[in-house]
Amino acid sequence: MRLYAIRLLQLLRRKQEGFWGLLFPIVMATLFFVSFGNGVDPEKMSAVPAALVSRGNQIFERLLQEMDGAVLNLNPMEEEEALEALAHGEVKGIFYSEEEPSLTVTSLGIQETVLETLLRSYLENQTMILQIGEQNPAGLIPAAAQISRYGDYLESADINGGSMETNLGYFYALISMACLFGAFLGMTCATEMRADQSPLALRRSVAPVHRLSLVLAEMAAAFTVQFGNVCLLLLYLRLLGLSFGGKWALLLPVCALGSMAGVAFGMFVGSAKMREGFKNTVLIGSSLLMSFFAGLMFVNMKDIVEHHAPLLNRINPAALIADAFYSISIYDNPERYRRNLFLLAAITSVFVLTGFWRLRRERYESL
Amino acid sequence: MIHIENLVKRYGELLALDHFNLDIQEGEIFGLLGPNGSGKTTAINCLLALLKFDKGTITVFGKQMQPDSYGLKRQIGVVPQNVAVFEQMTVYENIDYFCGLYVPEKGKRRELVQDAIQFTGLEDYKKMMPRKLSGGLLRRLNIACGIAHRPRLIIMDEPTVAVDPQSRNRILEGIVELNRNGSTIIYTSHYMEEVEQICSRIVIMDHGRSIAEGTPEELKQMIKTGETIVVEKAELTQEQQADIANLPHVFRVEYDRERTLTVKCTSAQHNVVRILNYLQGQGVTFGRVLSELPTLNDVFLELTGKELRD
Amino acid sequence: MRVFKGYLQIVFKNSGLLLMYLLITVSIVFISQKNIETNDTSAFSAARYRVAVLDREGGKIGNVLTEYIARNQILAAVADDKQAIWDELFYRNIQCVLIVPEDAAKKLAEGGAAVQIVSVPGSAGEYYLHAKINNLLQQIRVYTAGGFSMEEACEKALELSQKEASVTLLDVNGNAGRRPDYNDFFAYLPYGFLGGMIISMSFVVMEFKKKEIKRRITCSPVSARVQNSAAIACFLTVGVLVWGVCIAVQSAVYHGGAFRSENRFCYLLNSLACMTVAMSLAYLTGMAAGNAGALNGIANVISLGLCFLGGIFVPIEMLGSGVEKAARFLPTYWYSKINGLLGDYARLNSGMLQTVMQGLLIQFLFAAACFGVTTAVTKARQRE
Repeated sequence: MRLYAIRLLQLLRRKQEGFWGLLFPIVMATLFFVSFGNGVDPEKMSAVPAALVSRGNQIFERLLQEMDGAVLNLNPMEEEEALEALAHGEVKGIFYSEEEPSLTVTSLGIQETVLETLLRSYLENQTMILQIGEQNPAGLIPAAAQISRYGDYLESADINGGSMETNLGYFYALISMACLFGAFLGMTCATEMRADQSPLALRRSVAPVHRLSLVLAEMAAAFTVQFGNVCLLLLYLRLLGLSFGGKWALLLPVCALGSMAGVAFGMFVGSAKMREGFKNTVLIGSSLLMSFFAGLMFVNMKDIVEHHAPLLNRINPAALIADAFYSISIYDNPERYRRNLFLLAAITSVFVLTGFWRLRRERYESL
Repeated sequence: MIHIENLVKRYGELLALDHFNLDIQEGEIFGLLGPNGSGKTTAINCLLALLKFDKGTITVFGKQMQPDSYGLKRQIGVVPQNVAVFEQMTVYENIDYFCGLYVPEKGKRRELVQDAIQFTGLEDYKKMMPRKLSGGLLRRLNIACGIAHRPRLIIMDEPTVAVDPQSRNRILEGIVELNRNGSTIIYTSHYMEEVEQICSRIVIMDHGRSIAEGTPEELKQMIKTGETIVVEKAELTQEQQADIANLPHVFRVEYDRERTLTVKCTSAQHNVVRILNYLQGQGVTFGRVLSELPTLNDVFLELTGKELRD
Repeated sequence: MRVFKGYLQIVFKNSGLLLMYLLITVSIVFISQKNIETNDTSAFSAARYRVAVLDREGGKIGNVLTEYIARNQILAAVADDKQAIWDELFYRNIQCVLIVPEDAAKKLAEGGAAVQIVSVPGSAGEYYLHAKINNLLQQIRVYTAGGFSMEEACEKALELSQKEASVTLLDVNGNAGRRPDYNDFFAYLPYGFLGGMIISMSFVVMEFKKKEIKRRITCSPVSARVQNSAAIACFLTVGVLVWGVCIAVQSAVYHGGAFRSENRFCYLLNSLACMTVAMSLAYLTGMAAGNAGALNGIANVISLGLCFLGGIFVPIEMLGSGVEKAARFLPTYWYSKINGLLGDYARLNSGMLQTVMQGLLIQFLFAAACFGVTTAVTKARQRE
């Protein structure tokens, strides 16, 4: 208990590892929130510049003029001028207001899609009005009123009636990475326990303290600090408005196991007989790779790995943590959640046991 | 108390300990003297069951030393060659931590820590962090952490490296006092003056072997040199140098470009008088004249053909 | 020269991490290209998704949706069982499930949410399918408002969905409107440069920042100006070397790559500017970070942060307008903007060229500012 308490105090005093272990995920979470916090809403996109070559369809032109300033930034032009403007990127598309209006674009991006959607919407509405006018003229006015009352008749839902949030994958991958940050704490502990790694470890190795007590105290202290950091991150995410499906009781075991996995991984690497620079490289590189495959930079990555190499997702602690989060807050799939937890526990156990083995009291080949 | 027999340790092709033997009695300050790379630290680490060795036996307090020999370890204090303290803890906290690994009782430990701080003269630095301490103070802290629990056996591996003379003297005095208080001390160093000053028995090591063992006096008697006479600023010809070499009890003469004459004589009376009489008779002018008794460096030089600090 | 060589020696010892970052960048490029090939979300593509329809209504809405999916997407089958649905979604056997409740027609008539859509979160087709289905339902409402029966309305809406808009794609970039494949490579390059350079080069600075080494060098007859110049020269040398390797790789992989483009010099300059920014940030980070853990944190914050906010991982159009305004201060924003221009237009007019020059200047100035700040801080610390 004393060893644990003192070690905890030492780790908390190590500002660099503790500070960055907490600050980095919080800064990243803030950046993600700023980037995606308002969701992807094309109505919030800025007006798309477009040219209008008038060919007589005044209804179409009036529709476009109504959109001018909001969705569109409309510029009436002659064809030649419009084509030049299009080639030079001054406008994203050219509307020709013929009887059957058309659109000319130069690429297939989001803004061009907006223009195409406008055109298609007009054509569809035109067709509907013409048909209704021909077959049921009395219904023209209500139909026209309905056209302007565009609503949402489709709701995104999970089967249990909760709501899904896109881009949560980035946050989950970030939490995974935050858990793996514990590896640096783990490495520090290992370096200060193996006599062939530092003079401090040598002194501790000749002391009459049971090795198991020492290693357990180290692991427990590192885990406490790391888990504390992750909990603070979760709290911060909660403040930003992420609900995680409201199942906090299920999140905590994931975070706990994840933090332990990070610490144990660090001890595993730290207890190897390698020079310190190389160990740092291994830690940084492997945590980066694991987070990459869990979707930190490219949110679909975990999905792609699941499709092509699912075994990788089963042994990548970062992917397991992210998937466990998915299982609770999006899929509400307790079986998947339990499986992820089990696999995470298994991997953590491997690291812990290997760490114990490497940190056992022994004689070394050289010091 | 400690018995090492036929200890062999290899690092690949390199033979670090070559059938090394050692016997240390309780109550001694035992010196392990040798140049860098002679195997001193390797021998100590084998003794502490930190290093694997290829052959031989080591017993401490009559028992085999193993990595999990907690009973034995409780009686040993270690002051490693490199400063081994926690950067994030104050001086007091460091000593308390390491003492706590040996002495779990809080009350008793508090007393021991206080004593250790006083003993090493760190009262004014109790609340400071190690990074704020000078080299000498760090070394004192390093020692305090190793001796606070009042062990029966203290192993000090070059504790005065990079330490100022004031701190060094203080450390050496402290070691003698620890011995007076009942601790057996193994002291390794390549500074012969320190070893000569405090150790009751010395083993000289080279290339993993013990090449000489005994008290400082016994060691000096092992060699031919009884006295070394140095005459500065003496103008001498070749013939005069040859004449001096032929004087009774003289067995080596050296003369350098600084016009310093160094004469090694066997132990006898009036060596200085004989040489000075000759120089006066020849009308040779000279500066200072120094006469030194043999040092451990002389012992090492004669036994190995090289200086301790080579 | 000796100081310069010393820096280089340490750099090569830490080249492993740099390689890893570059490998990850290349992986992102290839994977995202593959993803785009199979899941194109632009309105002009013929992307078809596997969609299942669970018709609990057994009526008109269910029929029209089934028919619509069969004609425009790929109709898949799935049991009406929670576990089965999740599994099919999870393993990507289906992209989306439409659930038509018993009272779908009634809800639609009332103007409420008539159909539920369950899709793979974060998948490419999620938004696209949502928009398409919602549009279909809206048309049914218009027809019913216009006096048609629900059955007729469904039939007519289905017919309408087959109507194509007349859209002409002018090829101004020589790649039929799509950005050339090597443009994607350049698009993600900042992440590799920023992350890789900061991590690997910062170690070098940290090495020279060690107390004893710093003291030793300070006592030497090499002036602080020469030392700083040697450090910056080393950084720029390594940067140019890595940049050169990346340019060679993209040229080899994409059969000439940017060299095929009329804007080749702009591509080269833009990527070089990005590398310079990366190096300057690496220099700054090395001075600030105390140990490997801190360095890892800083490197990730800078590389990921700049890439997300600068529109590298997420298109700038998808970020809020406030974010876009703030991002204009970031070099990665300008890099992304220039790369977009180069990908969309084969020939740049004077206005576009002005934007390119502006962006390049901002990037180089940013780098110069970082180098300057770090040098000033180093000098001040040396005097201490």
